[in-house]
Amino acid sequence: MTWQGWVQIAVFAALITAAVKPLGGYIAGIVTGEARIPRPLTAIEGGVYRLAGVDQTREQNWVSYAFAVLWFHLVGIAALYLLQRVQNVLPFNPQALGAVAPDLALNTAVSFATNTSWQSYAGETTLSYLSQMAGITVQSFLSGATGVAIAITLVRGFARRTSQTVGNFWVDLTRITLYVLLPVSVVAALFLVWQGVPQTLGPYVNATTLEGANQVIARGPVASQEAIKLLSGDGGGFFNANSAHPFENPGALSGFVEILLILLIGSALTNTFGRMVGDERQGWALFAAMAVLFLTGLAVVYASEAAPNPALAPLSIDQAAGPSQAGGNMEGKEVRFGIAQSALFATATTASSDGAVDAMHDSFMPLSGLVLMANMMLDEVIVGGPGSGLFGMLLFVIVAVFVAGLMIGRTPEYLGNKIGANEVKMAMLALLVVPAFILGLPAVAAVLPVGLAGLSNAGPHGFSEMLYAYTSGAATNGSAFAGLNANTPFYNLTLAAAMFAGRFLVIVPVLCIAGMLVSQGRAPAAAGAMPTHGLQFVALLIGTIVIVGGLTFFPALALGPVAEQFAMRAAIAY
Amino acid sequence: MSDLLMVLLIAAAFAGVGGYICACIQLTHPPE
Repeated sequence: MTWQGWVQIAVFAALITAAVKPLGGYIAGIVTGEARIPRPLTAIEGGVYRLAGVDQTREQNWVSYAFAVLWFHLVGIAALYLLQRVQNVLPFNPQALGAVAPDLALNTAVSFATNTSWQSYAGETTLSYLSQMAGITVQSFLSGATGVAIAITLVRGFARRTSQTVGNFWVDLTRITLYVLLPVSVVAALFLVWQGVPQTLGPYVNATTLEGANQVIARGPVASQEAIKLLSGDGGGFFNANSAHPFENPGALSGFVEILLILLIGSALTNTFGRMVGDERQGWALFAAMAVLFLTGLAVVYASEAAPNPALAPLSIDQAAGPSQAGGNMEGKEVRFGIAQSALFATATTASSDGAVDAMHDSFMPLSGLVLMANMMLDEVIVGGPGSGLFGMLLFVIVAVFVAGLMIGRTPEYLGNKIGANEVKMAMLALLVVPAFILGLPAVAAVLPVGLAGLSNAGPHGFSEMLYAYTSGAATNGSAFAGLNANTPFYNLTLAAAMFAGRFLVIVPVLCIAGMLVSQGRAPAAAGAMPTHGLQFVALLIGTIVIVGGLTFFPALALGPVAEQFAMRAAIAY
Repeated sequence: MSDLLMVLLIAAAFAGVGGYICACIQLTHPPE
């Protein structure tokens, strides 16, 4: 590890922390309708409602809200599926790419509508510009906005005195897209263009190399997709190499800003939560829990990647950091990013639900791979994706408050809301459905020939490839460990099932909790109630997350990265 | 793998979530 690396991490942490309060306050103003919006923008918003026939003054109960989400995604998945199937006869296809195969089109449609962005394809050889722009990019906006909208309903559940409604999905979706995601994306896209990211509808370039060979250089409308890919927690790259590709992420500065974009909204929403419940300290407590878990994971990944590879030690290779080399494990990493930024990017992209990558996670040390998987397995509450991180963390808060209530013998309550059996039932349902798919599907794949056929490596590393893929899918992350050939009907369909379940089977209980909380009403906190803004509660929350996650996933991790770490120490490679 | 099969899978998945919503209502608000 180098001091430059730690300075980079410290500056990153300072910038994210500094953005929490202003951006969180802005988002709170947008979703509560208290922010002052320029008239031309409100005219656009009003036009959207008139066009869609939405009465913006009419709120929905949780069931209506859930069905609105469901219908919206049904149309979104169908539209994206159709677009890919007929892209060969549509415009903006200068490379004359053919229609996408049905199982791959289904996988991709579900992937982007659920904010996962798992990609079983290489973008530059599979999707036309129209599919990238009108399909992938549009879904990146809408799925990100949906995540924030769901989180806001749960916040309203905790914040409202008494009500039967949790908000209006169409209004939440429109306002978050128009006033939060679009403006930041435009600025970020312009920054990326300045850094060298292409934004063109021109065809790929045929270049002649110095050796006289012909090389096709892919390009396209990359910057506009790149910005929202990072901001919305989507992560689906224009190119197969994602943010390791120089046209998606040209240098260290663009890489640094891309990591900031990944965690920006997820972090800020903690402050939005604090403001909406009337006590910003509550938001800072959630942010503190996220920060402790994030920095702990980052320290492990950075230390693990910066250390010499023990398997190379007998070869007397110089693996120390110095002026001419980064040192440590540089396999699968870009020289322009180095160890520290690659570790930061990998930790951020798995702690959030983004899933973009600037290095090949398959080439990370086993211990690092364990942390990256654990980040996703903990329901991506360590900042998490826009909205999904906050509502995931609030689910753990419900469990933590319930456990604390049992320990001290008082009725569990949080911010004046009684946490009863129904709230805990729904929280546990949401928290258990993801592990069921993360653990169940690799178990199936590990015993079926069609599952084993996709592996590139044997032993625990091969198992890690499968475990990572289904973890990434069910946790709606979308990053790939690489090494697994997932573009087969078996993996396309089972991963689509994991992504679908990981999104909708979590969202529904969250909305149900929001509905129960608003209808029961909020009372002033009882005397003697456990304070939920101090260090004690932060420690309890972290303990709950780690224990629940650890008990659930340790056996599977022991078969994969833990076994591989010990094998590596014994000079056994797979 | 045909388009019809994929459409049926999508329809079945969404119908399943519809049933899941009903199950959540039943679980939290059992009939008297």
